[in-house]
Amino acid sequence: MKKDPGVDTEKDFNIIDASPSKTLFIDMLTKDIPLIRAILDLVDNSVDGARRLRPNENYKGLRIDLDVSKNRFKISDNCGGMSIQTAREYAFRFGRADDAPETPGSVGQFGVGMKRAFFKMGKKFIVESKTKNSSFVVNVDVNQWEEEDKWVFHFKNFSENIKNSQDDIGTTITVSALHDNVSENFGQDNFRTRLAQELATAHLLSINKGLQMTLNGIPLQMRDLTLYMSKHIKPVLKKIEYKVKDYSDPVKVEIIAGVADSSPKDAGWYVFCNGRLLLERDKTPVTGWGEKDGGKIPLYHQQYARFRGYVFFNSDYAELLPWNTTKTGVDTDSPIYQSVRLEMVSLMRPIIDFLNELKESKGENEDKESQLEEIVSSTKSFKIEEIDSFTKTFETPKYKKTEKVADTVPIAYRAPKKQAEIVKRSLGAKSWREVGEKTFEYYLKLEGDE
Amino acid sequence: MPAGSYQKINYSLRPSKSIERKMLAEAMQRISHFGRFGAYRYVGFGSTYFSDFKLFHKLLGIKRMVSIEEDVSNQDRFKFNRPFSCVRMAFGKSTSVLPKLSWREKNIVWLDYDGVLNVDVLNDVSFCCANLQPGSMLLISVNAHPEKIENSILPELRPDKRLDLLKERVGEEKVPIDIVGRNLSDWGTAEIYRRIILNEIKETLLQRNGSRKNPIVFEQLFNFHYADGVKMLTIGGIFFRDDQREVFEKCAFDQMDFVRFDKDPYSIEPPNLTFREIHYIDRYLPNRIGMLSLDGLPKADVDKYAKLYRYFPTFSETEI
Repeated sequence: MKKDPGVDTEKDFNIIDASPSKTLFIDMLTKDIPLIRAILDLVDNSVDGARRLRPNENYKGLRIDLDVSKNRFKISDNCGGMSIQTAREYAFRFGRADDAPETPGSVGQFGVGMKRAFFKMGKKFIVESKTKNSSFVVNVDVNQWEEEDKWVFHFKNFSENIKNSQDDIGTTITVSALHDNVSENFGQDNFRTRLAQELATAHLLSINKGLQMTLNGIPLQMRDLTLYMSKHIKPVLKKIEYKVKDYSDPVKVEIIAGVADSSPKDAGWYVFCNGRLLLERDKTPVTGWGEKDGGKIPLYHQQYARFRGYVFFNSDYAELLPWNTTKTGVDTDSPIYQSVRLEMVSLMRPIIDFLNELKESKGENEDKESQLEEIVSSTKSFKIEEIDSFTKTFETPKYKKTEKVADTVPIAYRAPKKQAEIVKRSLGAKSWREVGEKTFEYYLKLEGDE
Repeated sequence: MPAGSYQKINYSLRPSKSIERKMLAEAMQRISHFGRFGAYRYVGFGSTYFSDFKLFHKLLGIKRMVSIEEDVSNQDRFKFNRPFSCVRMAFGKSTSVLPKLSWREKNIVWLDYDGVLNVDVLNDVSFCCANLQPGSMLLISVNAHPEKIENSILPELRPDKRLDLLKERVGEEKVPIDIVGRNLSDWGTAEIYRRIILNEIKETLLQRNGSRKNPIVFEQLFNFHYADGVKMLTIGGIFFRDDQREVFEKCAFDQMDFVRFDKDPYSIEPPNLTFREIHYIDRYLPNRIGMLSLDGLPKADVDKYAKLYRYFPTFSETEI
């Protein structure tokens, strides 16, 4: 390994060398992030571009195209491009500079994502970007760069004060000389399918707002967030604002929760920060399930497969939002998240109670749906953006409870099939249950109940 | 082996299946370049007929054989039907039986399901890929008939429904993103099953190999389509170490006209001929077929027969 230039400690014996090494960034930081997540970071940057370009969040006409193969990774967008100044002063810095201009409501914020993604994937990268009036190309050979003492990249070429046609504006990034394991993964159908799924999920809100994403030419499918809505069953909505010292814009939080189709796979909480999905179908203590002490909410169980909760954090200041650096989850130490989590638990409680009641109502009458079940099964699913009727606290629909017949016990036993069939025929019974009931009545009639 | 179908069909009477079995056996003979057959074990789903076990034991001389049987309630009947003493029965679902077998020797494994592709099948495939020694062969047969969709669903929605069903069965993450419902009609289901199975093999091998210098590779050898009633797919191939490529070349699989290395299938289509016709055509095979006067025989059937005649089931081969 090459010795880093470091600081000349021989001149001043009071100096201790603490300069960073390039190896740290090239080989170490990349270990903290899975390949797919690293790619998502690049996509996040493009989505930020879309947000800058369309503050109204109507992304029709904007697109992000990924091309992934054994030899090369490529992402290109038409989301505004990067200015020469941004490239020169901020975008390629390792870590976000203090004076970097804010992108209101951005997704990227740590200033490591793009470079980390490059190093994670390969040894060569090219960044080409065009704005309305500028264009540049940066072309880097990582091995060469590692040999150099200085922490700089060079423009291959750039031009300012030009006029680019609307169709050309955007950024294209190509990574080649892929690492062996990366190249092998990129060559696998199954890897690309997983990548497509994670992309579509992470950015489902942006995709639903018209942003088109493709992977190897195939448009990613929209995924809908749904909830039941009817006269009887209404989802809950709570809006909260957190004003934070020294920040002009508050953190706005929206929590929506309710019930939907029974699906163990999809049940749970979904947490978004500035439109980017961080937690998907979470059923862990992070979102309030099965806390040890207190135990306000039970551990997740099959009967809660209808539960859905969606939390949206939004702020112009990305650093106020509770995400971790790899955007694979929430930062549970964030005071705002802790406060929101309490709200989530309070909103979830009545829904859990309702689902428990729904389960119990089933036991009462095996043959037909309970009234509560009927109400649930006749309720329709809506995409959450279509829902126009919310409540503050979730309410169990009013229904007539089937009265439990007092002082009864269930009796169950098995009998040889041949004989049972004979008995069934002779009783004229329609079900095995009826055979049981009728034979019991028969015994009572003959023997009396004394 | 899912319980049941053996009660309906005598496997040895399904002509395409019988042809496929003989073709497979012929190809298997060539893997002796990787090691003598005494060192191989055969693992299959013998049902009550054990047609594959009989053929492979007699033809290849494999002496260690395990038949996996899911129908645990009729154990005695299966034991009674074992054709040779070297056939061991292992009762239970393949998913739970496979991990209990030892995997130190070379194997020929034929996962001959009669059901459709699902998560359990993929788990079995993945297990085999993680455990089979170089020189081993893996074959997978599944029912690849396009899913029948209820009439209550509008015709234009049926392709999507079919895709949804596939995603439900194998898991959404296993269905390549370029697949649309229309791709699943006719033999399309078989083509996509093949792709999903091969993806599973590739992915498991990638994990198994780590980044070893001399990785284990899989080469597809078989891609049979046939229909004794429903459409069936058999996909299969051989595992070996990268530095054994020369041995693989020696097997000269490419000389066998039913071997398929890619997505183009070999379709087994046995013609319906009488024995009189068969004996008549035989006299002109293999190299005088041009001189045969058809005498009312359908040309297409004669051609089909000429392609298959060496593997064609006849009464003289009926197993008694």
